[in-house]
Amino acid sequence: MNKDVDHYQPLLISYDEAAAIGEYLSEAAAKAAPAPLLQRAIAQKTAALEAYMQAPIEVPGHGEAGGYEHNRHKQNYIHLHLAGQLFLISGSDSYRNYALDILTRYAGIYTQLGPATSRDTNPPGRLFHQTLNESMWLLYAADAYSCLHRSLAGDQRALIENRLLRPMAELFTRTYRHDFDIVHNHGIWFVAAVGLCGYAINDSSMVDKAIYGLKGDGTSGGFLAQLSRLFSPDGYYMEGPYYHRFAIRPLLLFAEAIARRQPELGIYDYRDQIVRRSCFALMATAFPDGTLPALNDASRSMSIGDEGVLIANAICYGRYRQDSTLVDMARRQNSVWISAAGMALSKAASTDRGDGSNWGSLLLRDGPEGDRGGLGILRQIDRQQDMHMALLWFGQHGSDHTLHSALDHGHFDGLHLSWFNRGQEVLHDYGFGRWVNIEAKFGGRYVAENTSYCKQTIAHNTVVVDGKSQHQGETARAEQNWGARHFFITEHPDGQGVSALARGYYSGVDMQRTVLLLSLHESASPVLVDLFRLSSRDRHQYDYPVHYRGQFIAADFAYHSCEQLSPLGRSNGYQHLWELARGRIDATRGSASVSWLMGHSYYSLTTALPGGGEIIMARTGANDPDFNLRSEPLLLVRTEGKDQLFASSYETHGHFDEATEASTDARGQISRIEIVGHDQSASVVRIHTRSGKSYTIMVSNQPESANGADNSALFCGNTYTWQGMFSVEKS
Amino acid sequence: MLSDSQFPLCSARQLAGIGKRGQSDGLFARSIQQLRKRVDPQLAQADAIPGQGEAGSRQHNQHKQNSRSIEGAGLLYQLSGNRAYADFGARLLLCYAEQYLQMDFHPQKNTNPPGRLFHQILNEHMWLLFAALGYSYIKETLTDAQQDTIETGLFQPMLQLFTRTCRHDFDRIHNHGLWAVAAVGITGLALAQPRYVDLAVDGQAGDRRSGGFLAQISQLFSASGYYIEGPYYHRFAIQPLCLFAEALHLHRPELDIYRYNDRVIEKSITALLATAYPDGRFPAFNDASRTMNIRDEAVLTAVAISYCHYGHCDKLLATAQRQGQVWLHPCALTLAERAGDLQRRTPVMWPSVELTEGPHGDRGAQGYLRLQDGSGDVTQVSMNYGQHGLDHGHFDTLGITLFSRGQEVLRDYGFVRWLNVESKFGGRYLPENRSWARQTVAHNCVVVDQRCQNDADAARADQVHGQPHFFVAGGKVQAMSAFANRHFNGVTMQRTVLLLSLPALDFPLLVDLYRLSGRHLHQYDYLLHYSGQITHTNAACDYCGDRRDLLGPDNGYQHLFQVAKGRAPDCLRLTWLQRRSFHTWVSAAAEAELIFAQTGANDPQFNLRREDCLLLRKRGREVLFASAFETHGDFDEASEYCQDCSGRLQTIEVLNHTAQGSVVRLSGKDIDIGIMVSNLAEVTPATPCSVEAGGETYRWQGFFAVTGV
Repeated sequence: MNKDVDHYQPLLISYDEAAAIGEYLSEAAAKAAPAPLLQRAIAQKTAALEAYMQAPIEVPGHGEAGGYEHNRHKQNYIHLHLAGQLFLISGSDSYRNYALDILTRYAGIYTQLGPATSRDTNPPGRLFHQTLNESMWLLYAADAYSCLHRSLAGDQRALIENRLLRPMAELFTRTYRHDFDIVHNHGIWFVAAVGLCGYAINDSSMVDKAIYGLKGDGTSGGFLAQLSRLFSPDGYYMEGPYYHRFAIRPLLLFAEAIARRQPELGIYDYRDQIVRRSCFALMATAFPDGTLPALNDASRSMSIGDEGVLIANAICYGRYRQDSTLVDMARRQNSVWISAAGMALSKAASTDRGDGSNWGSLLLRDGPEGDRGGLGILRQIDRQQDMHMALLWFGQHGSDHTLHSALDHGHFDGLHLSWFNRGQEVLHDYGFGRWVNIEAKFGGRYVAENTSYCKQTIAHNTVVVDGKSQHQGETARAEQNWGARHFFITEHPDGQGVSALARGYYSGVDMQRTVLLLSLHESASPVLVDLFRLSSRDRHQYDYPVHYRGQFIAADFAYHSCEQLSPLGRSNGYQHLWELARGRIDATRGSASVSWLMGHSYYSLTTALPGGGEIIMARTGANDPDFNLRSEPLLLVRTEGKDQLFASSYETHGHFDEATEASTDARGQISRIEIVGHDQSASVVRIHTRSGKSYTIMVSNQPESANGADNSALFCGNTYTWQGMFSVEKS
Repeated sequence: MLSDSQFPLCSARQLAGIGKRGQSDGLFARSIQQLRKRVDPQLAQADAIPGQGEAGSRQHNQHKQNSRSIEGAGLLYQLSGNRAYADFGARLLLCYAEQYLQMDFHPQKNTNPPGRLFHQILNEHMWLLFAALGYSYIKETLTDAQQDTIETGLFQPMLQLFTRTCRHDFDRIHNHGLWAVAAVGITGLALAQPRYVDLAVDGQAGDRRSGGFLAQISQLFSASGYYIEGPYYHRFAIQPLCLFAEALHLHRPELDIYRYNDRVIEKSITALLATAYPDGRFPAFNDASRTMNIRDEAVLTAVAISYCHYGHCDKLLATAQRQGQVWLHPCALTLAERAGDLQRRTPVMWPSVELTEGPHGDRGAQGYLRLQDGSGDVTQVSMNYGQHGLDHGHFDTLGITLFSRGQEVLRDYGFVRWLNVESKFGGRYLPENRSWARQTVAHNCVVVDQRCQNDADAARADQVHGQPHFFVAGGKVQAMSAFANRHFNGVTMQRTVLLLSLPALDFPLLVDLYRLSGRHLHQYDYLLHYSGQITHTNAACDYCGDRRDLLGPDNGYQHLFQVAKGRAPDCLRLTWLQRRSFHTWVSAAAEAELIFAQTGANDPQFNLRREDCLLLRKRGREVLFASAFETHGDFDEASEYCQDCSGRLQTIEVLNHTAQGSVVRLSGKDIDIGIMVSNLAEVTPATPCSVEAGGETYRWQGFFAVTGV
């Protein structure tokens, strides 16, 4: 570790790099060409800083999450950090003085502040209602301080270090030492903040605590333990993409600082390059429009534009590989992280036009050892160059019950399916029940409906058995169980497919879901075929929910529309659903179809109900006295039985543009879907189209290794044979 | 008369002259490229003359597209000289000519007579107009025999259909009628048959009063240019109006059409544009789509014609820039060049305007107040105090809408129709259009005793109209006020809305004073149609968590579910989040009941959008609903940024309201405003006014006064 103050370098951008960035900016400014991404990013941040500097510095007291004081403290550290960084790049004294001023003001009061008030199980900081925000403050203040360090006199350094940075770091390593080593996204922020602070003030024992944990063993806590346990070998983060992008920011900032100050640790190669794997896993789960799937507690609008993902892209480009998928990503992010790596990416984005590459279809294993299920993503580009994506979730529960309840972000959503095309999430995940940072909405915290609805199985596109949630809605039980991959096939003449198993999510019920993206002749867009199979010795009620958005257009069956609304149930999330209408599908009919309009596109669901059943139209909003839920529609396909296969097809068709009053192909091509047979070894279904064609889809339910290339099944006296895990036959 | 080089809308030389611009940059070139993008893919398609189908069906769409392709291809042939375009148009026309008379009439589905190609003759008019234009452009490439086939097999039968078989419809003064005369007139020019032009211009009786284009344009619009059915149908009517006007300008210069009837065409175009929201969409008054906007082709035509024939106007340039295209016609050249030269994106800011209704401007008006905030954003409040909108009218007199920060905040439901969506009742108007969308309760109005204005009787509503009280525009304090005394029996109503720019607020504040006086005791429901998520209210309401009932049996209430209900506090505050903006409603609500409701009840076919509204219910004889609407804060979920979700305005208080005037006071952080409004119909700017309240006398002069701004 570099203790020689004369050789002191800022934590994340060296003096040489800062000079190179400055030069790049002047070159870019001299050219007539469009401003490169880095130049735009810096110009934007400079403008934001200049605007903020117009107002006098204000250091307020305590406030609620999302409240005025909270926001002010937050804006203060953001602009403190910008001032430090931009001083480093531009050399402007006004930025330096501004940053110094903020640091000095906070140093003047920090140790006199008592603890703020926490409203949940997270402990409070001195500035914020929870220590998490305090760690963010510390991390950015430490980096800003490192940018100013060389310009500061001894007494200035002493004041800032002893009255602000050190006491703040001690909040984590002493006051709340029991929380410091938690392996969790908050834990990464804590160790990164303390680690960066240690480097900034040249305190190697502080850095060691951050890297190896308070015990110093590198396994019970600290950065290395976090890297080892929070991510699967494929880099998947157990809480899902929303918290992943939040955890990856401190992770990368600390990793980068370690690589600069202690290169001998080889942090970027640690655990078979887990940092790279983690970045790739995050970026590769994004939907085609850049938003991140809202698995577990998550916002539906978090996207690749988030700072954490900007940093991930730059660091992968700078530290691992210069690949055109990353360059394309930067263009879609329309920004880069302000850093030397960001400069390299920015340069590439100005010249390399990209090869239209995308993240492709992929399977991410979950669990620290990679043996706890995972996540399958199928991506396909259709004839209109539109990207389709289907996501099947079968990993471990997204939280650890031993942590305090405010950190419990897992949903009971095994075998959930999300589907995206035409720029929108068609079958969607509700995400969290939270109006983040809206003070008037329960202080911006998680609302009660997050637990009573959003986490429940019914709030997802996965089958609910007997009206209950998976694992009885208990986190501790859910943690003990996960799904398993059945197959994942991306090279296939008829399309792509992923299939997974979930056993024991409901006692006595085995579940298997197979999701295929098929190219059928009649349809310009791939058809999503979903085969959700349940088997049990006992009779159950099975509900297959479809969370869609938009306007219901038509159904091909009669239904009864409710004149008064009542909730669909009493518990497990059903108490939040109004029943709007219900249609009985008799066994003779066996198949039902509904279509809806979302945005500019029509969608049709055709589903088989060979034993008869019901289709229920519902909407969220029951028992929601504080208007905390969004009002959204859903369909429920309900049937009863022991062994049940929900066989459904989803079509994307037509175009609607109200403004130009244009509408085409409001009806789908598939007329019905028929279940030929299903058992432990295979499922065979047949899709019939309006043009009189049919497609027979055969799927093997046997483990991949146990059956060779050839499969056969006997249903109703007919033998079906095919090769591989699934096959499609046209007739 | 039509010479060889004269098409109905321009000359061949003019078109050849502008054709070269297709290669260069700029709006005109871009518009040519747009047209090519539309037509070129059709060239390779097999000639598809489908049979008959419902509105929105494949057949319907294909016929529609075919006539536009005939016209577009013809135009591109003239612009580029590329014979392939002409041949394509010829093939299509010849196919139609062979088949047209073999086709039977559609079965009649509504009150419009059917055509052979389409379910209603209106679409057939439109088809003919564009096909005839296309024909005129390619005529020179056709043999005499081909011309004869097309004219006798297609155009003559169509003309016969419109002017003989359906002659009773031809002279109807209506937007459909405009299409009929424009189609017949333009076809007359294309075929060089002047008698059809005469018929189209002068009407069947030849008197220029009972029918024909001149009668239409004289009678369809009010003195201010406003079209009685509202902006949505106005823009629909303006396309045949502009096209035929341009044709007459060229071929019947003696009519001096652009000066006709005190420049009614200019007034009509300006009135249409002046109704648009800052984002270019048209307010959905009466039966209307909520997405129709200035990019519509009709508006492109109107803007080009206005700029060419009535001279330069900054707002037209800014409109053209926002449209991103121009009408492909020689008269759009200067507009395209100048709009292309605009350096920066220029906001379209039409001034506040009161558009009077009726041929003499004495049948009420439509009022639009606009204020620009510091960021250049325009806030607009619109109020309807004019006439009932004919067959497409809604019972929404004194209804308002508010547009703020790029979105409609207090919204109009528009029509219940999934236009051209075949699987939704063939794209036609749905039953809920009558039972919900037209009802008073579906608007930001006050409903008396849960009824509908004029008991939803269009014949009665046609007899009455609102009465303007005052309209004061310009500056930081703007206001309009109107009466509606013949809409609910025994109840007179006055609504006054003010738009204020206050130093304490980032965005203009809307103040709404709705006063009702009845001879008897009534129930008054003040309706607010909003969208978004409720974030806060100080009203303690019982949420109907276990059962949602209907709000009422009829008059639109049967489509509303009761979501929550409770006693409102004396000063009600309620905030909702709509995308990035918070909106706080503050209302004097002593003794009132607050009801939250959602559409969707009695909607078995899911024809309605599920939307939210609020009802503030008061009982009494004389009631003043005094409300203010503050737009504030900023929310961005993606970056998890939120500021100022609470707003600054705290209270609104009614000090008194009498037959003479109303006095209210608004207060909040750095806000202390007094508002005094005259309630006397006969008041003039010089009238001294006073109202006693709380032992004090409030005095002002004229219509209204605002203190503390």
